Amino acid sequence: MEKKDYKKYDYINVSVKEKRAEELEEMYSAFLWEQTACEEHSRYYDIYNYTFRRPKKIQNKDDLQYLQVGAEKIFNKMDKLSREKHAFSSVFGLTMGILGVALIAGGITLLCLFSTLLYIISAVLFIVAGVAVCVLGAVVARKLFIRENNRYKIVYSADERQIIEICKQAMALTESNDAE
Amino acid sequence: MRNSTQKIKRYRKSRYGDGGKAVKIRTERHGLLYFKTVITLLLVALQACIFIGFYVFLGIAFWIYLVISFCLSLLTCIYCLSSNKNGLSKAVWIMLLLLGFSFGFILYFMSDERFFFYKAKKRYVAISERTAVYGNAYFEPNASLTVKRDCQYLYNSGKFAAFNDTSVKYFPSGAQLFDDVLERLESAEQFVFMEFFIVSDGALLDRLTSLLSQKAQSGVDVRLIYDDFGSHRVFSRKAKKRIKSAGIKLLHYHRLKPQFRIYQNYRDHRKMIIVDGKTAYTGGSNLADEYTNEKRMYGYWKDTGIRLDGKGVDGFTLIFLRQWEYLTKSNEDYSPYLNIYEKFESSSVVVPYADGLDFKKPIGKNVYENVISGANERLWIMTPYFVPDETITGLLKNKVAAGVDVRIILPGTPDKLFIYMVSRNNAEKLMECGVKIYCMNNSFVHSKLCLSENCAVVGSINFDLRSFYQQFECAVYTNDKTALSDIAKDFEDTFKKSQVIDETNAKRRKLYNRVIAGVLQVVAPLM
Repeated sequence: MEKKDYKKYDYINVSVKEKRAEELEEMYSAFLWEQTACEEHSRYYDIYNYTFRRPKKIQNKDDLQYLQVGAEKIFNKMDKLSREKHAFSSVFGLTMGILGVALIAGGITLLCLFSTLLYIISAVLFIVAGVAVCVLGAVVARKLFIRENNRYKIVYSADERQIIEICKQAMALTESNDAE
Repeated sequence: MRNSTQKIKRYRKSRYGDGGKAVKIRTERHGLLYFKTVITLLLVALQACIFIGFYVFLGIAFWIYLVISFCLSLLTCIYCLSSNKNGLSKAVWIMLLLLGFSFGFILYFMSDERFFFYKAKKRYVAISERTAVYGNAYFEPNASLTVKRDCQYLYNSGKFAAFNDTSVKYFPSGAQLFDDVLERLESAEQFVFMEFFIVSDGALLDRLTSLLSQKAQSGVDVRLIYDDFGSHRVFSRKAKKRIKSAGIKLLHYHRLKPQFRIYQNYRDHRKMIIVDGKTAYTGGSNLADEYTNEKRMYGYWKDTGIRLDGKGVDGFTLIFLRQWEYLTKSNEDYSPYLNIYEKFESSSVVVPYADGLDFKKPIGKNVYENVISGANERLWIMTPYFVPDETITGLLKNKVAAGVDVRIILPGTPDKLFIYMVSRNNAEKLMECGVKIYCMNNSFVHSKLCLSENCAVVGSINFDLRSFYQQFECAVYTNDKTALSDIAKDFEDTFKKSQVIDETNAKRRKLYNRVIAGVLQVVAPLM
């Protein structure tokens, strides 16, 4: 890695997941950051450590910094959104599945242990209820999954547009640097 | 044994004769052991009596102690009420004294700097007296009555002289400030003095030390004071060693020790750089990467600074050299470092001043009060923490009721959650009176600014009780028109990037916020 020239340049180190690395590079280039190094994370195979630099003396540096912080915040929010996209539907489906299996298991246990008519009827009811809960859980979880997907797409695209908007503002500010 | 038994039998028989009467058998006795047992029992009983007696005595003594400590705490409450502490501190102390009366009075006197900071204060006063000859005489500036009055106050309180013939430049960010500092340091020839609360390892320190190492080696007198509490987590031993070996003189203020000593609460919160007695910088920025946004901590770091060139620099040189003398305990001739400024033609007034426990009055707080009371059109404040006392709160309420445009900018992203909750709570109470509250989006506002239509204060003094009463601070008071205009523009730009806090989004709306903030107000004087 080349030696850092702190007199002429500012430096920043960023860690990012592989699938969003390109997006990050594009975003930072809008703020005049230039990539100087890219290394794999020592522990995680899907994370890269980037080093960016840009000239120390640029016009509108404070405004660019402010916009950059806003863009980074939305970038991280998008990442969090994609990680937690199906959190609710997964938890719901899992809970209903566990409940259904518990009911079925309860019914089977009753069948195995007792042979009187009352217990047999109860056992059958338990098993039927368990199956119903599993099926209902699966159906509702799938509906929730689809709804989350749709909502995620809307929110994600809104965030993407926001980042693009911020990058456009940044590029308008950096045009004065290029003009010089 | 057998002989004695037989003897007994024979004796018995002969005495009592035949007839089947009972025979008394005499068993063997160990008299000494029996005595030992008795003594042991007696000793055990004695010990038990001692324990019981001690317990009873302690019980009685404890009650006597409780009664005495309650009386002492009551007397301490009366003493506290008649002291010069501000109302909020008095209320908190009285509550603590009454609730914890068994130890409250001990804590109160341990926290009183007149007892436990006495020697240090005496030394500061001696230094001020010895170096008074280097200070400037009072001069009445050609300015408005408000400015004249403020300058008079600063001179009377701390012998801080007003200067003109000083150029003032305002920086709306820490990055711009330090870019200018680095450029200026390249032409340093005689001395560079720096004082910071936080000195942190990182890119900024590397830049500064590589430049200053060269200067130190070429004979420039480079000195750096840092606060040990502020820097202990971020200023490594390796970096300190590197700086010292480069020829830079490094001193810490009040080393952080694992001792319950009240003076450890008093910190050096100043931020200043003086170059060759010709240029001085101050503001809110410390020597760390987050202040230039090269490190991300709490979003965008909003900071400010000011540069003085000319006569006014002597004010800061004197403040620094006095602190250096306090830390080194060595007398020094200050004259090589003063009166070597470049002349600038300017009628603007500049007053560099300091605050700390070496002064009788809380100068920083009083200057803010003077600026607030002198404002007739606008009063804009930017501060990371807003924990004022009742005087400042009352003044702000009066000003807004009189039609003055009062606005306060707070951080949108906090660094310390509890202080932020108290700050928001205090600010939102003022909002109900008409003060406009702004929180800068995605940013931590670290600037300490106060702007009216007459003057501005830029420095290291937060709007909180800690800065007013427990820390060493510094700032610049000025009426320079260019600086005022730049500061006003910075405020206006920041308003655009901020969210206005109103009834719909005030945190005080939520009950738990009000409850937590109310509880935290108890320790607000310590924040």
